[in-house]
Amino acid sequence: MSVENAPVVDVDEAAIPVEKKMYYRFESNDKKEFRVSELAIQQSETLNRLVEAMGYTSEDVENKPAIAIENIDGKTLKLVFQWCEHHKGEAIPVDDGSVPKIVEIPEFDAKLMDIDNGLLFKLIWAADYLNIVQLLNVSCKKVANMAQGKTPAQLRRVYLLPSDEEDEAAKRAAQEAQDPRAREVEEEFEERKRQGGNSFF
Amino acid sequence: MFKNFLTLPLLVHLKIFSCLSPTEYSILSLCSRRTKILVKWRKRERLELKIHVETRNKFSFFALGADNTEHKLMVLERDFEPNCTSVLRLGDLVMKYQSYTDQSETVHIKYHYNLNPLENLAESFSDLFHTPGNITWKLETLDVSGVLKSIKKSIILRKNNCEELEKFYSSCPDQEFTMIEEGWNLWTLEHHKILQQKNLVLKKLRPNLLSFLVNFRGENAVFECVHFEDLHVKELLKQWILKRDDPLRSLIIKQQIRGASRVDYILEGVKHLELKKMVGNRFYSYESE
Repeated sequence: MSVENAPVVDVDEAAIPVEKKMYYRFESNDKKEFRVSELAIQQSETLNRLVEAMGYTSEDVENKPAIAIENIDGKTLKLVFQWCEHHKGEAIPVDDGSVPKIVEIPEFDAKLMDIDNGLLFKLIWAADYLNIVQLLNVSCKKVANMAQGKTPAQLRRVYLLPSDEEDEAAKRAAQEAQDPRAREVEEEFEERKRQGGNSFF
Repeated sequence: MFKNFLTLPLLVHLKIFSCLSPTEYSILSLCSRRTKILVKWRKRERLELKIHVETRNKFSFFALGADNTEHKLMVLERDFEPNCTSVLRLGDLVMKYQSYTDQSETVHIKYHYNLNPLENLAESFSDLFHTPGNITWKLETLDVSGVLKSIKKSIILRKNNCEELEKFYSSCPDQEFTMIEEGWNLWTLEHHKILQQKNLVLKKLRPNLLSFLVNFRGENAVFECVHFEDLHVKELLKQWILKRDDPLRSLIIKQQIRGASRVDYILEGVKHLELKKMVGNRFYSYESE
């Protein structure tokens, strides 16, 4: 899909500028475009530094191609920018290293993160990649809360954890993918065994 | 790309771990080999672990406590169904787990009777929390022969008879800390193993305090008694002066009167000069090393 044909997703309809504000355009790895306010971008240290370094003017923002974020898909990026727009202008917390971490999840964030667990892990990954401290705090807290009162089997389902057997199978598959000849040799060996041959060579 | 908990960056794992309780942290380690490695890798703050063992009928209750809170972690059951599907492995130990519907925070584990799950669990948890030898065992029963070697700190919660205690402390003599919560009124104490423990706390003692005082052979002790006489202290001091190679370093005697201690009052009644004369050069001022 070309950039011109990509769907444009306005993250915050209510936040359409009354006064002249700069709205940056970002593009996910599945070519979805997002318009995000300058103030909202400040929640992400990575994006904030990026746009500062680019030094775009209002005309540049409209005329130049959208800034590509290669590692994050549109569904996840939409959640990230919704969060940034809602929390724009808020102070960015400083990690004081306290344990256990006391984090409260606001109502908006709780609703935003009411998603399937796979998407939640993608959201956390994106928050870490874009260095959005508070989003990372609340999403990690949400994941930690999911462990409450769970048995190992339940936790495996909740955290989408592979079992030891699945890990072993994945490891074997990865090894075979690296060396396709290994599989052929193994099959040949099995075949010869079935035929009663004692020696492979 | 498919994302699960294990694919998250390590710094994110650390953030999540900082929000988990020790119980959740332990249960995560039981999910798979990879989660165990991940959990163990994390250097968390030093924890004082307490393991609470209680046996009722055929059940052993195993609770893990940390940071002054007690999280009931597992219930061990001695019967084991070999055809079960939910199998849990801790070292060589194979167990089955299932959750209670009414106690969702408890993991219910079955194990082979002929194995020693407590010892394996103790090793596993001390390994997990990087606290070797730092686990305090809270025991309601002394029938824990499988863990004797592991026990270095013990709190005996229920009243046990003299022979049981003698047997228990004969089997694991190198205790770092021993506490007996329930009072006992034994009179034949002279060579009892309990009085040879290095650091001893005895609570709710019955009137034979003097026997405990004169026969104690450890280094530090706290004796909490129902009744306490000035005579006991004087007798202790007399005997102490005569002793050779006495390891005693500190001793606190506490009398429980509606929660208050009478020991301060009694010690105030003993004139310092008189005390100095009595104990000679073995006098130590209050709170001295």
